[in-house]
Amino acid sequence: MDKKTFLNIISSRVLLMDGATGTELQRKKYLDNVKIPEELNIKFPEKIKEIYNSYIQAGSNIILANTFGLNPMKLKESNLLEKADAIFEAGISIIRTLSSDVIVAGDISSLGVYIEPLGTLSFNEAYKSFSFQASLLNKYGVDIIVIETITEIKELKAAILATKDNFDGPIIAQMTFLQDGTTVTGTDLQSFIVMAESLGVDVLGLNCSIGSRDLAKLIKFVCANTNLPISFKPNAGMPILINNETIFPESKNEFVESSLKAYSYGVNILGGCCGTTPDFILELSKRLKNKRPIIRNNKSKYFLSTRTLSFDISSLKKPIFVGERINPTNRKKLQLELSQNNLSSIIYEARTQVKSGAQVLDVNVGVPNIDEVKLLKNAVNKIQEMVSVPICIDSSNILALEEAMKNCAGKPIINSVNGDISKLNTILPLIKRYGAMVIALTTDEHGIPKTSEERLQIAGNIIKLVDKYKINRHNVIFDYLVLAISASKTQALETLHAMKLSKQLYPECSLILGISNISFGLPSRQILNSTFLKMAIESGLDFAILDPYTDWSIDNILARNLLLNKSENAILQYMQSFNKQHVEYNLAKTNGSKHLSPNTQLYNAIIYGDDDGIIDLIQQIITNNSGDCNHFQKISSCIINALNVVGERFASRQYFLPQIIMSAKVAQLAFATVKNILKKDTILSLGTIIIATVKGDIHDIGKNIVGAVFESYGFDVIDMGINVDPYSIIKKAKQINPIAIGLSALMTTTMPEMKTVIHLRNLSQIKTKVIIGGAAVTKQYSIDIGADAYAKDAMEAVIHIKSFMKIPKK
Amino acid sequence: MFCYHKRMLKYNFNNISISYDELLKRLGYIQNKTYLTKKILTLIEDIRLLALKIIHPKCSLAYANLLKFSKTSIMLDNGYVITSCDVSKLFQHCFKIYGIAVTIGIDLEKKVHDFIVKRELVNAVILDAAGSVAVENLIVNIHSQIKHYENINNNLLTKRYSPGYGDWLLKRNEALLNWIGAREIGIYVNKSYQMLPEKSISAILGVNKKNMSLSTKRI
Repeated sequence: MDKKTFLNIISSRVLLMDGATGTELQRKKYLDNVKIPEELNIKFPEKIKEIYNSYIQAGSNIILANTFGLNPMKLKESNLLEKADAIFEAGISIIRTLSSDVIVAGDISSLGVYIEPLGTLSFNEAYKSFSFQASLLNKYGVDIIVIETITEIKELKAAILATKDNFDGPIIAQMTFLQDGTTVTGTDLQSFIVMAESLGVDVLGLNCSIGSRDLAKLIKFVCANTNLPISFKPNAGMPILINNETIFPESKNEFVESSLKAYSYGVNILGGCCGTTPDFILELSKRLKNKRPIIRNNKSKYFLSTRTLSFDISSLKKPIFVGERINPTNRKKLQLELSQNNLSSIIYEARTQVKSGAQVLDVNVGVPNIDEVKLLKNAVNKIQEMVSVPICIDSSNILALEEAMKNCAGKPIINSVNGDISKLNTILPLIKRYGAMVIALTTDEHGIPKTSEERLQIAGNIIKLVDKYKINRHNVIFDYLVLAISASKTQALETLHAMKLSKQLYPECSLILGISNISFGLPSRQILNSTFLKMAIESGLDFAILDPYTDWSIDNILARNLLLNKSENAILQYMQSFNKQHVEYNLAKTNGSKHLSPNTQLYNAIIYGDDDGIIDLIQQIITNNSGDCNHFQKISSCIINALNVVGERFASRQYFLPQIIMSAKVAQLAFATVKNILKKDTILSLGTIIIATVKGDIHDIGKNIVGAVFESYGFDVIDMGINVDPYSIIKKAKQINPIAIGLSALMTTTMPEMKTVIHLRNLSQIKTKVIIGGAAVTKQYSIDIGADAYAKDAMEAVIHIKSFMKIPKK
Repeated sequence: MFCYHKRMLKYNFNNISISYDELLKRLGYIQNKTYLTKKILTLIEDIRLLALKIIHPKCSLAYANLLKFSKTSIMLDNGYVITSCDVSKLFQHCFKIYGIAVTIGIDLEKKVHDFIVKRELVNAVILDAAGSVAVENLIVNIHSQIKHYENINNNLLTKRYSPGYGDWLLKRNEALLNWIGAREIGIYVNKSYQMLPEKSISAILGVNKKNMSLSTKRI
């Protein structure tokens, strides 16, 4: 069925989807002899046929094929991957045999695993899984595809893109929300609407999780905020498991009344989810008979969004600040960190810019000789975890741009395109595909035009292609370019003039400028920058790329005169006025530590768990002491002294667990850097320690903390992992002769394995000490089983290890 | 029976909180003693918000009347027997037992593991602690709902009791989970009797009448 036909149908009448399939199968106990419900399609087709038929008889116009969970991962787990074709075909064809009038819908649902960074699945892996499903649904001839019960926005994105790539017909996209109007992963209703609309679905809706009364309240919001057709498929109340039975408490009448309310708000397609039965659908069908859809005519709004929030661009106070500081240009330290895949400065800049008022963050990680595709993706993922503002993806690498767009959990801005036709033809299809906004620079392969007329000409060419690719003009943000006033007195006027005309010619398109270019080469730059910003706002500026840390409240008459080219002497007057003033409007933080010696800085860095610049610091210490053959010992002493202080603060409860881990991490990094620079691996180690969680136990956090602290003190740690056989531990100890074996157990049932390890150690006659710890372990137990020591925490473990080595405490 | 269930079913547990203070406490913070930097505070808040996104609270409940009682065991009317002198003592005045199993799902511990693999140990520790706070709040939430429900009928509850406490062996947990139907919400035990997902709790609660002996400990 083509999209036009389907949309015509739903514009003329309200459609009824079916009710629950899964809970009906459970209720009838039809799932006893199948691995997954979808296997019924080939193993017991008469059972699934019965369910389909019950809904057709009840009056459903749309029947969802039994393909809900047929993704490759689940099929593989159930050893049904080879039968996938047969299962899909049967699930769809059975419906066709029952009725030629109903619309057959392919059903795609959540993969059950989160996409990174919330989970471990990559976007591309998720896309492949959904493509598998969508292609088979297309192959076996469904009329429409319903993507439903999705709780995570990136998964929704992957599902919609995969479906669009494999199926030309209508697509319904539904997410599952809690009573408070957010999904379990924090996405709100508006952010869902923004994503679904920008990716071009035909119908959007809500299903599952909560009962009809609560879902109707949410659908009211949806109806008021989109003009797309809407679907509504609530549960029969929220399920609860009592005495091995799943109970859905809502009655048929409650369900029907809420559904009718939803219809009155403007819902086009209604149905039922878990707990509903054919009776529910029959009653609803009677009540909806001959009802026509209620027309919605909401005012169009245009949004940027993140995972959890969306921003109506038209309602925000202008200009919208785009933070520019995530950019390695002319920043050597940041370039070095990015080349080492260190994102800590990026995270810091993201947080502090947002705190200083940035409403969008420009993200640029372009450094030579790095894998920009991977780095930009990681940066986008990391920033989205930390802050809830939209991202402006800034790259000239097409592959990096696309990968970043995939991984954006909201609607991003792309920086940028220009009038170069080949670039436009490459990037605009991506803008359309991923539903992004785009900054369009009014320059081209010939360079920056001098006049406003030439820039507007380029804007016109860009708009032609935007229209050709059917991109909504509201997604275009023109940049009429800012050139230094010191280089040309009339440039500011040209830019402002172009902006004013642009607002008349292309009123749907927003305007942006990179403000600080205007003042290049002149004193007291912020005075000019801020004044120019004010003038740009007067000319219709919507977005401003700037440093949010600085003061943007200044509006100076001399600066205005200069920018407006009011007189021949304007620049002279400005220079004379501001050359001698060292007005600093910068609110950059001061770092008192710059006055301390590098060794003291290293010591403080460990005490406070601050790994910023550690590599440079170690380099500096080694360079400063290059003639000293004991410089490793001195660095080592500094680190150990700092760690000892950390240990004392932990013991006195001034520090708690996260702090000792952070300090340990800095110390580990310091040692690793020293080893790397001096290229002396084994000589520098204080000795080797084996750590393991005993057999039968899978807890490892405590063990990992202890391992990190051991490493921070300069020990080599062999981490044998979890659930480790005692024989393997002793075999390893015989091979490498460690100082000690550290054993962890969390449960009383696994503690006896510690005794086994000690017993085997004694039998093997090796001298290695054994130290034990863990939530269930006690000092008395360690004495009872003959362990050499018991440690209640990581710092105590270090004290014991040192006593084994007879190292005096500093 | 169905109406009886229905009265309890108005409550939900989807909005389980992970309060900042509880999380700090779980990490070992002591008020007026432990020093907190802005960096740590921000990190804890970031991970707390992440935890809220990836927990999936689920609950399975069962209840049955007490049929037989002896010094070493109790038997429910569905045939389930709990062998433990301590349980028997605790529930000696009860007429009904609830079994509760709760979990926050596996996504949080998967993410913890992911952090460990990436050597982001601070994040792993904070997220693990957040998971512990969440599952504890979940069972407290369910407990208080049951208490509210039983109070309407003039009944009191005992404290929660779990396999592994006293002389109730940890290896009996599997039988308890079977009675509760915890498999339906994804909880099972491994060979070492460890519950998986890790952030899961199982417990029983006894119900007695208000005019019963006060020797039974009550919440």
